[in-house]
Amino acid sequence: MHTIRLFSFLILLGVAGAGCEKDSQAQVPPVTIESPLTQRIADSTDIMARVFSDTIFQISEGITETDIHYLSREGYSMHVFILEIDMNNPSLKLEAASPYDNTAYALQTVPEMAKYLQSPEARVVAGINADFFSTAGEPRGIYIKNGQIVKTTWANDRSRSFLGVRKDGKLFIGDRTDFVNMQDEFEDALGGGPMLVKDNEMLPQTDLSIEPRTGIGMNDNGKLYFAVVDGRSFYYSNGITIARLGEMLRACGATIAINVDGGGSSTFMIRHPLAEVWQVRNRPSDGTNRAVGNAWMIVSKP
Amino acid sequence: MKQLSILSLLLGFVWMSGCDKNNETGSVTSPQIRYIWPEEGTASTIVTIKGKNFSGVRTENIVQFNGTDAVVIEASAGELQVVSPEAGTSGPVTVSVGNASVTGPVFTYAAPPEEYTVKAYAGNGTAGSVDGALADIRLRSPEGVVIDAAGNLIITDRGNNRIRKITPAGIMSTVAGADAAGFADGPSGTARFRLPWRSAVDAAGNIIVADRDNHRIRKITPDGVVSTIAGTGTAGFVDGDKNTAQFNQPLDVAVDATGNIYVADNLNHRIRKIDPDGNVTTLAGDGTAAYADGTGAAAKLRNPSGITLDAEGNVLVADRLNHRIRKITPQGVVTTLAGEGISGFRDGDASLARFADPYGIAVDKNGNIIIADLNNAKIRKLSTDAKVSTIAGTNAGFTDGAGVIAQFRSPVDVCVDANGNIFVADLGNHCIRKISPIE
Repeated sequence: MHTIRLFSFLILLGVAGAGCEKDSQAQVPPVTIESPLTQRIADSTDIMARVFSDTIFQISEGITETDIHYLSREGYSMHVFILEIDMNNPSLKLEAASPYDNTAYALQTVPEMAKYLQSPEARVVAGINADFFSTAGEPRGIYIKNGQIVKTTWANDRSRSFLGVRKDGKLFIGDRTDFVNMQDEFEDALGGGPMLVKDNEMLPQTDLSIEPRTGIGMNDNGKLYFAVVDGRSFYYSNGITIARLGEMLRACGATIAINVDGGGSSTFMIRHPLAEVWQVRNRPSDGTNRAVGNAWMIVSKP
Repeated sequence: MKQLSILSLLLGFVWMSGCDKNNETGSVTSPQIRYIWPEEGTASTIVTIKGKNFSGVRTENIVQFNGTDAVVIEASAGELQVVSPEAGTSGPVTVSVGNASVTGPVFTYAAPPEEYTVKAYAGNGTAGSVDGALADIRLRSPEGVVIDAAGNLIITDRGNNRIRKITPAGIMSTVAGADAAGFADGPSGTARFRLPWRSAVDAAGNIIVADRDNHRIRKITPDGVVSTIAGTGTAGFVDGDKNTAQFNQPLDVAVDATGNIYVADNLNHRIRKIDPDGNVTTLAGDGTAAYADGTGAAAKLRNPSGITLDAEGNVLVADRLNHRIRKITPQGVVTTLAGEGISGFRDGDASLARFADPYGIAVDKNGNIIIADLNNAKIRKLSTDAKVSTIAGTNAGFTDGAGVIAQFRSPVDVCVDANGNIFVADLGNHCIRKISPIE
């Protein structure tokens, strides 16, 4: 009896093991890294412990989107959406979008702002939420739209950076001092939070909280990066610190990067390549698209 | 042995449970729809379909809205994202994968909301008289706007006694007149007007001007030479040839394809017609300020102020103090298109709608009538299905933004460009506003 029992038990174990071999393979399929950005993040940071899925596709000429589902080194499920925009493409322009395409303070979702910004001569191809704002829609940082200087003040210590489009079309990321010296030079400018990367160096951060985040970075080669990391959803995506967000943007190629409004405001929108529709790619943590104070849009001008 | 058989049973159990998942993926099952969201929306709405057994390969899912193919933009086994097709109609959403299909809930098409945004286009609220780039332009009580065939915006700058032109590139120049009232024909620099009210452009590119306080109809050729078409300069009512005809405050003009000019003759309460030879007749109205539909002199108007032509050649009139929109056929048959006849503000059915001094009028390319509703400080629309709605404006003020919050101060005239943008002569704000439809 003893031998039979042992024998059966061994068979049982063997069969159980063999029977599930295929299964365990199915659970963790091998992932081929498709996006150069994902490869760079994997190579030069320790943010990702494992990549579950990696997708890259072109939104329009000069704009590619990378979506990564990964396991963070801390062991959490994460989703990040990154847009790489070639600002050397002469048809692509960065524009500050505002509610109702107007300078009066108000709140509107990013796709709604796109509707108002779009014209027959300028198609909105992508957009991302921008500055922090009050409940009345007043941006926390500075604000220039269409060459009109609307606001030159900073509401609190967190607001201390900005992204601007100079009148010659060149992009500029700077701090409060830069703004004082240069404010007449901008066509559009919107405020941001802490600077994350400068001169290709990580800057130390005091805010260590883990939240949904939006970041913007760029480099001297004309590449602009929009990144949104989703959060507040355990099985889907768990958020990130701004320091980690900066590491990610730097790995992608940004030599200067800022954090902008995050949490439920984080919105990553594209004009979908398959249909005439603006799609929010990420999952804003409120469950719906939040009405925000302003946004950055990439417009395509023929 | 009993134990052995129990172990065997266990073994079988482990075998089955261990491979459960594999079995399922191998089986053929039809798609199922749990729900769609939203269930109502306009065309080009992203609709999420939740269910199971969809294909993870996007193109293998065929989704239809009441029989019309929809573009699938995202696909996984449990969720599809599709875009409601432009040509779709209200009806059930169906999903087919391979040979199996399922019919889900009804998606209902809603009419797209009409949204507009208002911006200051030329002038900034301060009166002045400055030509040049859009940002530098200053106007003084601009009274009329019209677009010519080349897309130039012609402005009757009443307070400056000038006719001005803004090119599509946004540069303003003076067509004729100077910052001085008077009466003089001749080249643009020496010509004078006395409160030029509104204008129209004929097929040859001449600008026809209702020169109110000269009581004359003037013409400006494309090279800027000003002449008088009709009117003696004395206020009165006389039909006849160009040298005898009289008007009493001509406010607005419209020109048909053959060169007939129609005049809103304010204090004569009549609509006048000037043929290409300069002979003036009366199309409608008998001179009394009253309200009556009918033909020619049987019809009555009360301070007709705005005039335009529709695509069929009918004359449309903003009948100011009747608070109505009138239509006059080329034969002089007058009917009422909108307005209850009581000053007020009410949208809805045209016959019950209320205006407060409808003052300027234009027609868009779809046949909708756009009205500058002066005392309501609003821009209204009379659509081809006889409904009146408000495009923009709240109470009097100077605010840009969405139509529902924007403010005008005495909007007196409107015109519509080829893209459906509406330009408003915002008299009290000394500027031209631009209203763009949001699509």
